[in-house]
Amino acid sequence: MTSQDEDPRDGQAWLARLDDYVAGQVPSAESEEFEEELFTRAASEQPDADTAFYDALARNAAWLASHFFGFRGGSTRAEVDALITSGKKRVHWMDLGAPGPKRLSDWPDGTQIVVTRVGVDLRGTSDVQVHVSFDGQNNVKTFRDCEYDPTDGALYAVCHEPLARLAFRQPRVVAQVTAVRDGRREIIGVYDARNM
Amino acid sequence: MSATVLPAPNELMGSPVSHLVARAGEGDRTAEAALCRRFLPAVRSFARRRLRTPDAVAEFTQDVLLLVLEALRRRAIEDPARLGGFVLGVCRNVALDRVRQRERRQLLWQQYGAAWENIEERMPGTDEIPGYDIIHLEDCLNRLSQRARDVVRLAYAEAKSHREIADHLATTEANARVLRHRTLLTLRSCMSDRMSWESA
Repeated sequence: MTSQDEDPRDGQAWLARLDDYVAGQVPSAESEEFEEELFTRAASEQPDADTAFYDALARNAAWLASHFFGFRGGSTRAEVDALITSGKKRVHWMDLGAPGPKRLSDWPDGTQIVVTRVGVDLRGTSDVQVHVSFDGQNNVKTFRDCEYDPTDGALYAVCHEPLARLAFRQPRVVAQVTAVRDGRREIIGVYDARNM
Repeated sequence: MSATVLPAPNELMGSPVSHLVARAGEGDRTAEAALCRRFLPAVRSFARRRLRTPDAVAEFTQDVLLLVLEALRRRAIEDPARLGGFVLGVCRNVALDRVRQRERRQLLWQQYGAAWENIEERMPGTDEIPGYDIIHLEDCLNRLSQRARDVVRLAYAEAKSHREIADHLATTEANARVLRHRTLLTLRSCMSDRMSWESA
């Protein structure tokens, strides 16, 4: 059996075992047995997709951790200002302003990071989510636990340019910002953006 | 195509290791590279169990695969079908004797360093544009709760122990393990699909 045709539950069990092994949660005697299997899988004709995934996750997570926004659902205005004034990256600033219809334009070639300011006021709310669709109906993605700036209540979304390009270069992008206030989830604002 | 994963040539993807070992022994550098790439995730996993920092893991991996390269070129693999056991043995030996290894490393580097540079999967510099794998991870992280994102950062970027993760999240060690596994499987599922923006 190869990693391609195995039962997905076997893959899940293997990933959990690999995680325990790397984390030092497997006793020495068992770990020797596990290592035999790890290298037998590595030598198989088909690459072990789960081990490759785990390896890539560790390397790529470490790379993302070197960026302040890598593991956060938003940044503060002060962090964004520091990023821009440092001059270390080519940053494109995009202020969507207040909710409503918007026109998006392209950014310069060579941009490395795109910062999007979503001009809502989320102060006094919790559990902020942004639901994105390309038609205003069918949800494509939900950003969870978004972090807003405590001074102006706006969202400052920071991401690498290739990801921003995928998200914003669609013909139409509809983003609905919701949050919990006084125990009830409410719609804070809806942006309906089209590319010029 | 990702900037961080170098694919083995297609013609060699499904080749048995014994076949690749034979070709490597005959001087086929493509077969040699394909073999080493096949073992990279396993060797790094072995190293991560024992070492914390990405640099230490990278150095250990390099030490092991330089020795494997040497053995392949010297045709010193006695049972090519058991190459997995051979590489594991090298890992264990390197782990047992890092001091002696450091001295030998310099010599190996001079002899086989050029071949290793061709095999190594280079990560982009912090000022470079990341490849597909990284932005896919960035995209999947956005779907997680902040607590789950913290688990990924602590467990995989910073190699923290279950105890340290539990302390950070104000939970038990057993629960930290459960959170870690759950998040890992969620990410595995997300990364198996195309990015949300592409599938729309």
